[in-house]
Amino acid sequence: MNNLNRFVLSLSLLSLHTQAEQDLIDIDFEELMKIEVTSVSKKNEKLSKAAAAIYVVTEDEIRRSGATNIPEALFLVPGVDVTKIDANKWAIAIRGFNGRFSNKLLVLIDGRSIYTPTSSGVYWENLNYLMSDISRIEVIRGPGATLWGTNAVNGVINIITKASSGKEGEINASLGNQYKGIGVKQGGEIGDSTKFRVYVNSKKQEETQDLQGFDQDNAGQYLQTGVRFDIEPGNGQWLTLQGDLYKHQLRQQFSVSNYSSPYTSTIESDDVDLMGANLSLLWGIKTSIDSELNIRTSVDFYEHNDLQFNEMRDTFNIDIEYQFMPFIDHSLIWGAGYRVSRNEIDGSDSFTISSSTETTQIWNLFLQDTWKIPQKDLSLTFGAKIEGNSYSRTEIQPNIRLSWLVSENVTLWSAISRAIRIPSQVENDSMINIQVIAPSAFDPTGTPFLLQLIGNNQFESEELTAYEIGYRWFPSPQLSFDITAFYNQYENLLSYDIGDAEIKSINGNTFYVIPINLDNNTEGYSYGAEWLTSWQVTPRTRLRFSYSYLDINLEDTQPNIYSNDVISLSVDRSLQHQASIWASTDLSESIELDLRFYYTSSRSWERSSGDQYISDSVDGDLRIAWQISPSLNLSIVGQHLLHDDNQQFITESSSTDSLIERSIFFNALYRW
Amino acid sequence: MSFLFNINAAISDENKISSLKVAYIYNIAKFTRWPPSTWDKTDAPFFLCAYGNDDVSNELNVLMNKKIDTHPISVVKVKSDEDYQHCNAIYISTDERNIYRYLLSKIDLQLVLTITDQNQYFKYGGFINLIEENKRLRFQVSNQQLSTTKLVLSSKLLKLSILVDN
Repeated sequence: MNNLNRFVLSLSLLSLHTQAEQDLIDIDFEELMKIEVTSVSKKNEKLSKAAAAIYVVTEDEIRRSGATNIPEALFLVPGVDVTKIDANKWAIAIRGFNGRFSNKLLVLIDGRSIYTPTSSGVYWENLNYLMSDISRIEVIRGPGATLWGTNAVNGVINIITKASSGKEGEINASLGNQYKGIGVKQGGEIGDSTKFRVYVNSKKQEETQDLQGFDQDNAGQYLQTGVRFDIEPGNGQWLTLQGDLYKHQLRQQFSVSNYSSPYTSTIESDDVDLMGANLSLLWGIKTSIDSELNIRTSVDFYEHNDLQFNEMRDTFNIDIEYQFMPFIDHSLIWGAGYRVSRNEIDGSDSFTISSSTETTQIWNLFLQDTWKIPQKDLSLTFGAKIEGNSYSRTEIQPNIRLSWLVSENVTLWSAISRAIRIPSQVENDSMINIQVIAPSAFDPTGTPFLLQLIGNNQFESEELTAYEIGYRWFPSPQLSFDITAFYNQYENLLSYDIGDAEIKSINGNTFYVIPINLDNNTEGYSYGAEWLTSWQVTPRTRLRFSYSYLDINLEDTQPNIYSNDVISLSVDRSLQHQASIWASTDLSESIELDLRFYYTSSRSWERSSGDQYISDSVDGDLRIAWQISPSLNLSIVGQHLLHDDNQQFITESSSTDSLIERSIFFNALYRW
Repeated sequence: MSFLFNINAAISDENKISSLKVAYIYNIAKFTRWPPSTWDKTDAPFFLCAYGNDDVSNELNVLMNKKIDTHPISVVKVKSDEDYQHCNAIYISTDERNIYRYLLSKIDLQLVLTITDQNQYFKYGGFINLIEENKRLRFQVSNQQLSTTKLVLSSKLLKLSILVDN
């Protein structure tokens, strides 16, 4: 009886319908099948109504960009600053603070956080996945701390790989002036319920040039393999077991301080040996159509050996998440997580750490409710996360988001959120010799100076309060606009605090040591806007325009002569303006053409020992692909085509700057 | 005559495409026979269920009270798990694999006609999937379902379909 009532109720929802709809229904089926349709790709409802600045890099976009690795797939994502430091290293950031170890960004692969507690950054060069295994990359600009967790301050990058179909079979080979690679994968099935795939991916990255145009000794050889099992035990459950194993052998140039006369730093090349493995298990169950439980555990190991330090790190992680609808129109999600990570680190002349073995722990609890108010076309999301860690006090990170469906084609949203970036091991406990300065001619003792960065075990979490507003408009199925503006207020950011100079013996020599103690005295704000327009000009041609603007203003509340070194490092190395046009067209059923042009504004680093500057630039990428048969695809990809070479980023002082050369490669992909 | 002229022109508006899809769903159901034991009365309703919130599921209401054989169609947006067993046919729209598989587990696939629209998870099961091919709307029929179902698809329907292994 109860069920019948529900059915009767639905009768009253009978909507008015047009004559045209009725007409179609009365046409004979064979006639219907003659009607020509030219559709646009399905609009993702969730995305168009989300109360956050979110962009999803689709499988199509990854393919059409010609990306050979994850940083390249993120290149030109609106509001994301992706730059190549040298042959192997990347700097990636959202809403500023770019650097080799951008620490206000959370990066996940299938839910596994890949940031390292050592520096709070990401070793992008460790990742060498097959691009065709990636299903999509979700990029969230702005804080995502409540749901996502540690480090999700200025953005979240969530890389999601495909479930195994069991039918994969592919070989993929590339040959070019900067890049050579080969990858193979094979899928299979075990019984009815288990599908798997294995892959191997190997590549060689050629060396870049120094600023004078001489080849650097920094080529890289990469090898990665992995496996993914997707198991369906039935009863609405799923189980995924996946793991990867890699060994990369890179070369790198370092800027090495000279601790004896003439005290000028020299450039030395050395091996960078990277090795790592990870294993994750995800178990999930649908407990009803509206509720779902997921439990994810992972273990992760990496080893990083270079001239400055050798590190081994093991991490264990477990996350539990449950979503359900306790009341009509309320969708709740709660979860808990725990991570323990242990490392062993050996320093060098330039880098020491007081405890060679360190264990860090992070735990969290979160709850978030999304309340849909259908009468008002509103959706209100509010929640908070409590997070504790080994280095600083327990923090609460709340957020509130409102999304308003103004009309069928217009969504307005706004959000206020708080997020923190917890201290890294290096900030907590380390000594880094950043610069040796030759003795003053007026000093009769001839004692040189040494600038030493000193970690601070009182270092606190960096804090952000973010205010965002967004507007999405779909004037037609072919045209869409997505505009976001934000104001970020930062507190407790990293600062340099000068201590008193002392005479000390360092690495066998006597120095006036000038200690630069890490502290949390920087504060300030940033504001900016991101604009994206997508236009499906014809069924075969799509144009995408994006522009983003960013202005960061920080100050040290206890200023000193080195204050600006660290402020400029995060502020001026980030892009103020960024714009791109991406044209995708199918020249025929089997030929794809992609043309991308992009503008980046200048970068600089103003510091006490001299300023560095890179001017603004316009550059372009091209990809032409020919699907010769259902199984064979040939393509040619050109990156940074408008310059023979150019410098994209200014490195931290321990490394050397590089010119990135134009890259062209051919790719052949065969599927069976 | 003028309306024929209208539809012969290419349909490119998203709303009209969903109307066309609704017409397909109606026709597919019309050319399918359910076992006689399905209904105890000749005028008992034919429950056409919908899961999801896309244009097609919102427009299915135009089929209300049209007839499948002698049974008037009742379009139902299913709200709770127990209700799925009442469906005779179900249109499923979701971008979530887990929800799709869960729905399949809640219905008797031998007696329920499932219809999806360009469903990337069709390989996990389901009976009929609308697709676009050569600028025409077509539909795939699962060989696996066909071999186990208690429904009878008319020869006309099978002739128009694309048989696939999923």
